[in-house]
Order: sequence, then structure tokens, then C-alpha cells
Amino acid sequence: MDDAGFRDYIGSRLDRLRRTAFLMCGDWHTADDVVSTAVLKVYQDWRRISRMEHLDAYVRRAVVNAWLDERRRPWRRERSVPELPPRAHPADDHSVHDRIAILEHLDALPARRRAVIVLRFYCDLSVEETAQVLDCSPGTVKSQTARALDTLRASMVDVPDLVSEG
Amino acid sequence: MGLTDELRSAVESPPPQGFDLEDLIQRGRTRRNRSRALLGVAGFVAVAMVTAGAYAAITALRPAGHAVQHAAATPTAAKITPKTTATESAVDATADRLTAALASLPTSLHIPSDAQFYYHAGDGGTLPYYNVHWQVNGVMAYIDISDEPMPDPHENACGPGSRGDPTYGCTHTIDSDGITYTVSNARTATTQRSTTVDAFRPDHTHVMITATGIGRAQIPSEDALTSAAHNAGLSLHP
Repeated sequence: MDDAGFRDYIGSRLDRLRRTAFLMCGDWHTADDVVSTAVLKVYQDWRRISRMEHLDAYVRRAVVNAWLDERRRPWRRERSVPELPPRAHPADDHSVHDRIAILEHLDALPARRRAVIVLRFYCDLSVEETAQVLDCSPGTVKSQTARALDTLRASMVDVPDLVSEG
Repeated sequence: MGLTDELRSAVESPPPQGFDLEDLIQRGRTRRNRSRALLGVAGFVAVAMVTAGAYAAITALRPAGHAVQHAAATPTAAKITPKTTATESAVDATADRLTAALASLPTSLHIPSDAQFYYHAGDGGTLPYYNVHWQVNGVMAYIDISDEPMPDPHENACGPGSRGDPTYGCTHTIDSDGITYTVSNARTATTQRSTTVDAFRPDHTHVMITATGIGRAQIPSEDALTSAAHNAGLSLHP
């Protein structure tokens, strides 16, 4: 078992995976739960998947599926911690307000549309790459994107105009 | 600020990672070694029984309800592979029985005729469980069934100490059906409605049913989901 290869691959992507999971989950505790579940699954499948052409898509799909599984247990998300973990940098009031606002807008989206927005506009994936992660057609990604952007636009979020996607 | 900039801004300054990668690798190794040991022992037992001429004993291990095959008397006529274990046969039989019980659940759940329970060995620290899921008319639904004792009836996860999602209503019921939590935002949500019924039954069967409606889709009522969660056919210990 190529643990060194797994360590190198996941170690270099862990931060990005956590941030992606946070945008889907809305809180860092759940994001860490989701990512650790996904990482464990990827480790168990590593021998089979390590030479896959679209390994990044596989790993992102593991994160999305772990998050969708987690969503099925909304009341299990509660966790007790003795104190909140420290933040790396202090945040000013304005930036905290903006962060909360976009997270609330994301939270109002159905799960799949939220995932589409995060994958396309944070992870910067193409329509085809997003379809691969979500195991659906590019057409579904386009329609889910359009509906999600309509919802965000109605909430005064500055969203791109994707007329060219049709 | 555009959407992409807002998303990037939202993930600035993350807190320290809440898990250790080396711990996960070690858990993965332990789980893998445990699975290999289980298959190895079961395989040895299966082969040893055939070698000793105990074919009749092997067919007796089939769970009740399976037809006993009347094969040739000589052990060499039995086709047993090391991976066909009594445990795996019992799991398959339970999955089949639970699948058959789906037909007796409320019709408002709109369970497709080809819906089927599958066994999950459990990962990421979760218990093994049986799962079926489907999506009809914009409603996604899941049923998870696992073997778990009832929680302490004096504890109430809906109570003031709970840190669950405040947008969801929560009820905690104790009666002859066991301990049941119902968590739902169906009465107040406008874009996505979700109800979960979490039933801990006296026979150590834990049934959790979740229905989520996308957009205007109507999800089954709490009564329908509760009736399903308490259905005798979904017991792991009939």
C-alpha cells in the first residue's frame, strides 16, 4: 500500500478540500467531519484509484457524498467542544458580515445547487468537470447553475451572467 | 464583490484542522487489516468444513426461509468459495426481507417498486447499516436501519442542551414503539423542506427515515414517516 503516495497527494490538497467542504456545510466542525470521512474512504480505495485519470474528481465526489450523507442527519450535527478553536487572523466587522451573508445565501439553496455553485465558482471547475464530480450530465449542471444563480441574484448577490452556456 | 470573491473571502482564516491525517491513515490500516482477518478466518472455516465432509452442516447454516439444496452426498460436489460465509448469507437475507417490507409502508412515501435495501459495512466511524434511497417527484428519501440499543430515555436531544439546527422543530416521544425523535422544518421552510424521523425501538432496531423536498415538492407527512419508522417489517430482529 503506497501510504507515502497517499500522504503526498492528500496532504497537498487537504486545505483546499476543507475550504470546499466549509462552503457546503457552513461550519468548520462539520467540514472537518466530512473531509475526514471522505479521506478515510479514499485511503481505503487508494490501491484501486491511485492511478485514475480523474483522481481529483473522485476525491471531490467523496467529499460531496460525505456531505450529502451528513445532511441526512441534521440534528446529529450538534457537537460539544470545551472552547472554540482560535482563528488565524482577527476579522473586522465588515468582512465577518460579508462572510455570514454569502453563507446564508448558500444555505438557502438546495443541496445539489449549493454544490454546483461551490464547485464552479470556488473550485473553478468547468461544466464537464462539475458533472463528473456530481455524477450527472453537463446539461443538469447548466440548469442547476442557472437556477442557483437566479436565486442568488434575487438576494442581491453579484453573480456572473452565463448567457453563453445556453 | 463578485460571487467568486465572496466565496474566497468566506473561507479566509480557517481554524486549525480538526483531525490528524496520520490518525486517519492508522484507522484505515486497522480497518483494512480487520477486514482481511475476518475474510481469512471465515474462508478457512468454510474450506475446512468442506474438507471434513460437512456439507450438510454448511447447508444448515443458511438462514430460515432459504430452500435447502439437496446436492450430492460427497463433499466435492459442494461449490463453496472461501468468500461465501454464513455472515454474508445472513446479511443478504436480511436485506431481502427489509426490501420486501417496503411494500407495506405508507403509499405517500412513493417508494419505487425496484427500491432495494443494501448493506453497508460502515466507515468513518459509523455502525454497519442497511440503506435504501429513492427520488420521486422532487423528493429525496432515505431509510437507514442499524442495530443499536435505545438511548437513555431521560436524555432529550431536543432539549435546551441541544445544539442542533435552530431552524428545525424537534419532538421527543417515548411510548410502546420506543424512543422517537422527529426533526422537521417542513412547516416553516420555503425553498427546501426536510423531515427526519429517528426511531429507536425496544428490539434494538434503529430506523431513521429522512425525506427532503426540493423546491415546491411536497414531502410525506410526519405521521406517514413515523408509521414507516415503526413498521414491524423493518425490524432487524423479527
